[in-house]
Amino acid sequence: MNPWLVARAGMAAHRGAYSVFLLLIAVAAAIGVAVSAQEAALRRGSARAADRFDLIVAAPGSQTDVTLAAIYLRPGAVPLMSPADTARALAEPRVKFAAPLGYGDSHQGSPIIGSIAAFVEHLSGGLQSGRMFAAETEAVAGAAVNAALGASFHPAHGAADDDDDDDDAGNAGHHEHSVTLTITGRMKPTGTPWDNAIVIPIESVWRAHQLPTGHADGETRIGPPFAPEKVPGVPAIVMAPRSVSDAYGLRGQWRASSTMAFFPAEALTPIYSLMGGVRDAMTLFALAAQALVVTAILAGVIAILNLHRRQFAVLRALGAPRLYIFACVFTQIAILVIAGALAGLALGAGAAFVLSKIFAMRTGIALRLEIGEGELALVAGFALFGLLASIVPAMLAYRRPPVEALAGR
Amino acid sequence: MDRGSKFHARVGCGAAPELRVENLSVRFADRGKSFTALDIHALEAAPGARLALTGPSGCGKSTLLYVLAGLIRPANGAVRWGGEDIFAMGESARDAWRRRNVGFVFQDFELLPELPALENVLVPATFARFSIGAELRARARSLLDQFGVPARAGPAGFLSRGERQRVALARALLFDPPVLLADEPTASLDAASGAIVIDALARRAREDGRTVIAATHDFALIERMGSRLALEHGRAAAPAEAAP
Ligand SMILES: Nc1ncnc2c1ncn2[C@@H]1O[C@H](COP(=O)(O)OP(=O)(O)O)[C@@H](O)[C@H]1O
Ligand SMILES: [Mg+2]
Repeated sequence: MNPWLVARAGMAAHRGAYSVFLLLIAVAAAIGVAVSAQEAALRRGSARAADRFDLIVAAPGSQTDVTLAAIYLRPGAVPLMSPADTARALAEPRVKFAAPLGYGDSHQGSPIIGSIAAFVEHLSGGLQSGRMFAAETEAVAGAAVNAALGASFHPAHGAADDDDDDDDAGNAGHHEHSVTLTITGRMKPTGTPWDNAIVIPIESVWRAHQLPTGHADGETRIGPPFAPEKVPGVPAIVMAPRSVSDAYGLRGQWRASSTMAFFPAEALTPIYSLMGGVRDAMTLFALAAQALVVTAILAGVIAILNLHRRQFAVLRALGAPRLYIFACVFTQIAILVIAGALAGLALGAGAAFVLSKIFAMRTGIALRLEIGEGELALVAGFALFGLLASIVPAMLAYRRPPVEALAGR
Repeated sequence: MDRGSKFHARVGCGAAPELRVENLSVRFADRGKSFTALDIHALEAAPGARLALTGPSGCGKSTLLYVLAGLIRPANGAVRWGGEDIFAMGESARDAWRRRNVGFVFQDFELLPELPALENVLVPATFARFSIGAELRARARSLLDQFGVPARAGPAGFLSRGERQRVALARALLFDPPVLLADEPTASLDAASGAIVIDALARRAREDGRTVIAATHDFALIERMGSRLALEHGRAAAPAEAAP
């Protein structure tokens, strides 16, 4: 038995309605795929962005706020550590480096962050061009910063506006500092918001804000070691412990009354669980949409098959067994469901891709999309559900006696 | 006419079986009330018989054809083809029997309008097998040829009515069934197409020994059938008589 010929005729007869059904199935499947793929990519992307920030020491407060500010460069009200704690942390011996992060200034939408050369080296794994900053007036640009090597600029006070990445240096309330910075190097792409940042020596940030510069008066050297009594407070310090046991030791040691210490992964866990919750809710919506679509299509298909009652009865009169009628109906819907699910997979992947690009543009976090087992399982589950549902109209056609249809009733 | 005998052997069709109907009654429900649509004491047709079923509209001609094809189960009585009561079989056995033994032609052709003529003829070939062999295709083509249907690839829905009925006839004859049932096959045809169809039905019985039973009002067709059963309100109005 091969119902293909008759199934094909049925699909041709109703190609308009079937195209709409196909589109509905594809969109319903796509929603699930896009939500799931996007969430997974977001998780991976944000984890990768946090990768290089082994241990963060900051003033007590919200780990999430500090994480958002330090790693994702989303400025918020992060309290400063005391100068004494800062000086002690910067002098921590059990680390490869302890890098202060000082921010607040920006240039053409790129946040300017003060830190040390070792951190830049660690973050980007070497520069792609030029050289590391060697003086307070020099800067290293992130891979995506729109400024040429050798270009000079005046930083604008205040953070880059996070809702508008365009040049807002001219906005009221932003004034330019008199210092001139020159870009001497460019980082390799990191796939993190730091690609959009300009990193300068921390001393330069301190000086611009009329703070002690971390070194004895008159000294122009930059970077560690710092003179403890000349160190102002900073919002966060990134430590690179030498070993895992050191990392845990340091975290314990810096969890004190006036400081907190955490691995970024700890701060991300609640964010992930929130994202997971959102994904679960969205997936539930997507499933509900899919169930609705399948039900609606089922009703449509049953209505269409009603028009074919006579045709099926004729096939029976010509010698078709009942199972053949079942197979004709099932084949048509199965093709619809499978083609729709595959189209949905492609459509969902496409939608997630576009969303990722938009997200990367807005945050600097590069998202690597993968259509993995989870998404395939979603689509396969949907298709299976559709196939099971198509048994209903197929069974209806199977059970209908040919007599009434032949009598024209 | 070319109907290879090896073809019969392959699809398991032999000579036409003898028909014997005994004490047949068919009941339908009409607005909850059941009525007797068909009540036939006895009907016989020898192998190779040509039988015309006549009578006013609503007298039960179509119903009788469907019963003879095993599509409507009678309330009482037996329909024996070649001695075997087809309603004593299980449903799938009856389906298989119908597929092997009966060809059916309808008044309104009942083609799949989206498919080309050739594929319409080949539809019955998809009931029991997965792929359609070259041999079967060649037979379908030669049947269309024989009935003068142009070998166009367009959808059958665009053919003329006469052409469509000839496609339907070719479809009914694809497996050279021993029994051909036709329900007013010429009623919606012009005279020329009607003549082709009538000729095919008559010659089929006379030359090939197949049984042909046709419900019809068409005198041109009645004339070419060997005998006639006139029905009235589901009963034989007169014993089956030989046509002139
Ligand atoms: N499935 C059915 N249910 C109820 N009544 C039917 C059904 N099929 C046919 N009838 C009735 O049975 C009678 C015979 O119908 P039919 O065999 O189609 O007549 P004919 O083909 O001679 O015009 C009619 O009264 C018709 O309305
Ligand atoms: Mg009729």
